[in-house]
Formats: sequence, structure tokens, C-alpha cells
Amino acid sequence: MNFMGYRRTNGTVGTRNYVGILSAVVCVNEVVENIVRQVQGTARFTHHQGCCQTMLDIGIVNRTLTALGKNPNLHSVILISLGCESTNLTEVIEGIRASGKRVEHLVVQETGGATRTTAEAILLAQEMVHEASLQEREPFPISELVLGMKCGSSDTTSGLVPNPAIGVASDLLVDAGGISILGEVTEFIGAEHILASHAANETVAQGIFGLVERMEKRAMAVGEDIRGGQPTGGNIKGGLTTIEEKSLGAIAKAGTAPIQAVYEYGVRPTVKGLVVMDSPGREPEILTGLAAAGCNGWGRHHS
Amino acid sequence: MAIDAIALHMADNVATAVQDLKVGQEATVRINHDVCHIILQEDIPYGHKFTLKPVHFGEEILKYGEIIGRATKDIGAGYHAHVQNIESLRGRGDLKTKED
Repeated sequence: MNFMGYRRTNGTVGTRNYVGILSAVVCVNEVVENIVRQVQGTARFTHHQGCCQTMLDIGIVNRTLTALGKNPNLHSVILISLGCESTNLTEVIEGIRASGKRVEHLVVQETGGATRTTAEAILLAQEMVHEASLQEREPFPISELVLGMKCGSSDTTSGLVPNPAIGVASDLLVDAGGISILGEVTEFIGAEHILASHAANETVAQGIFGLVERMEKRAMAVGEDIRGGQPTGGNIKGGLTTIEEKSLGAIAKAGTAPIQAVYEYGVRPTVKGLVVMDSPGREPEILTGLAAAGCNGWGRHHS
Repeated sequence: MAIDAIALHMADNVATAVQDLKVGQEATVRINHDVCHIILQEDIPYGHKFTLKPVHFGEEILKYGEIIGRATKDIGAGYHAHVQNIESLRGRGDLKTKED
């Protein structure tokens, strides 16, 4: 089975062909939003990071921005920075360029303020969207696809119908040679023994237990009951009582394929098949992480 | 026969309502391939759980044959089993603080 996609220089395949407008730091989010509003064919990547963070956290920001820029659904990238952020711009720009993409960079403090930067970036984005529009789609086997999985607004029916249905879709893609990524480590808590029994080998099984232990310790460190946060108020209204119960339904998304590897947040898998990626269940974080991991799209249910 | 609730594992002590159920109603519960009947002591909303048998304080609650928490009080059969009488065993930083 084939799909029509966009070939990227580094061998990955996109299902979309956007010009990505990346915000290097929270302070330029509005500039990025204004650019994207004016130019069809661009996609916005804003966030609340990039300043006053520990080096460990900034490292994750650098890595994630780079990986987002490399996502095959982006044809090329404009990075907007302020000029005084902690984000390592060279690492991000060179990292994305290494994938063969055109990357342009505008610095608000050097361009003469937000308005001038917005105006210049709009003209640049128009030119780049035009360039992107010249690329023709080609047929590719679905083994080139990367699927991210996520559940939303879970209730007690989620584990009975929609999550198993996503599991079937994941199994089909894995059988066809593609990559399927399961995240939401908070929603492994209480079900990790079942997930680990699907691991392709002992290292992967221990990796799954390790991720859950790290996530649970983080939750425990605040000295509070995880309930209310997990499961959410909406989950509880829908009949889910504990995180364990939610997890047992959530992992049905994994289907029946063996889990081949465990990855850190936002890292693109280097193996085919079903893999696990460290991430919380919270949408903005996991969906960003899945995009950074190279997903073309996600299988997501909403109860 | 219309099914009011399901339990997926023989060991389960709670069942999930597949429609809104009323107090006093005799609920038809499918447990795996068997069927049993339970008189409900409370209204049970769609998607919510009720006890299939009496559960004692501290006893583990089983759904899908797996532990989903424990009872925070004695619960008779046919009662709404949810956050008011079941607690999570995981991610309980509040318990850790008390123990420390």
C-alpha cells in the first residue's frame, strides 16, 4: 500500500509540506503568530521555553526545537529569536540544516523590533512557501510513515473500544513495516507489568519499568496525591477512579506488536516497529514530543 | 438478553455499567461468558462501576483482573464503586509525606 508524500533530502518522507515558523523563546511567540496568520502554508511552533531555565532543561529545548525543524512534514524553516535567549541557536540552526533543509533566521533585536521582524519574515515566508509549492508529491510505501498515539478525555469506554481500535491500527502499520510510537508514561502507572511483557527483550522491559519509576518518583516528589491530576476531573466524571484503571485502558493503544525500543522525549526512533517514548500524558507536551520524534500524524481518540 | 454491565475477568469485584442504571434495579452483568444478577443499592451512571460482591476496607479492587486500587471503607454488593470509596495505590506522594 502506498501514500503520496514529500521526499526529504535525509531520506525521511513528509505527508505535509509546510514552512515551519519556529519560536526560539517565549518572548517572540506573538511575532511568530503574526507571521503565520499572514502566510498560508506556514505552521506555527510557539512554546513557553527558552529563557531562565536550567542547562538541563535548555538542552531539552535545543534538542526538541531541532527535532521539530527536522520533522519531515516541514519543507523548510524560519527561526525567530529575540537576541538574548538561552536557547542555543547555532545548535538548532545547524542541526536542522544537517537534514538538508533551508533554514532562515531572524533576530528581533537586530532586525529593529517586532514589527520589522514580522514584515521581513512574512516576505521570506511567502518566498519559501512558493518554493515548497514547486515540490511534487510521490508515492511511498506506508512503511515510511511514523504514527504517534495519544488518548484524550478518557472515560471508562476508552479502554474498551477506542484505545483497542488505535491498537489495531498500530498493529497494521507495524506489520507493514512502519513506526508506531506509544507515549504517556503517566498512563503506564499500574499497567507497566503488562506493557513490559510485550517487550521484545529484557533491556526494553527494564527500560519501560525505568521510565515509569522515574515518572512516579517525579509525581511523588511534590508530596501530593496524583489523583485529580491523574486521572483528571473529566476522567473521574467519566467513571475512571484511579490512575491504575486509566492506565490499564490506555495501554490498549499498544496493540499486540512487540515493543522494540524505549526512547527519551522527542527522539526520532532508529528502529522500525512499535516503540515507547518518554512523555507525560499532557497534550501540549506529548504532541510536541511526538512531532519532534518525526511523527507524520497521530492516532488519537476523544471520548 | 440485554446486558446492563460488564466485567472482563472472573476475579473482578467490580463491573462497569454500559447504561445508566437505577437504585433497586436487578442489573444483568456479563462476566466473561457468564451472566449474574445484582440488586443495585445506588444509581450507577453509564461508564461507572459498582461492586459485584461485598468488599472490605483495604481490600484490592480488581478490574480486567488487575489491581486498580483499594477500598477506603467496607462496601456492600451493588454499591457505586468510585473515588468516594476507592483510592489509588500509585503516585501517592501524600502518603509518602505522612510516612516521612
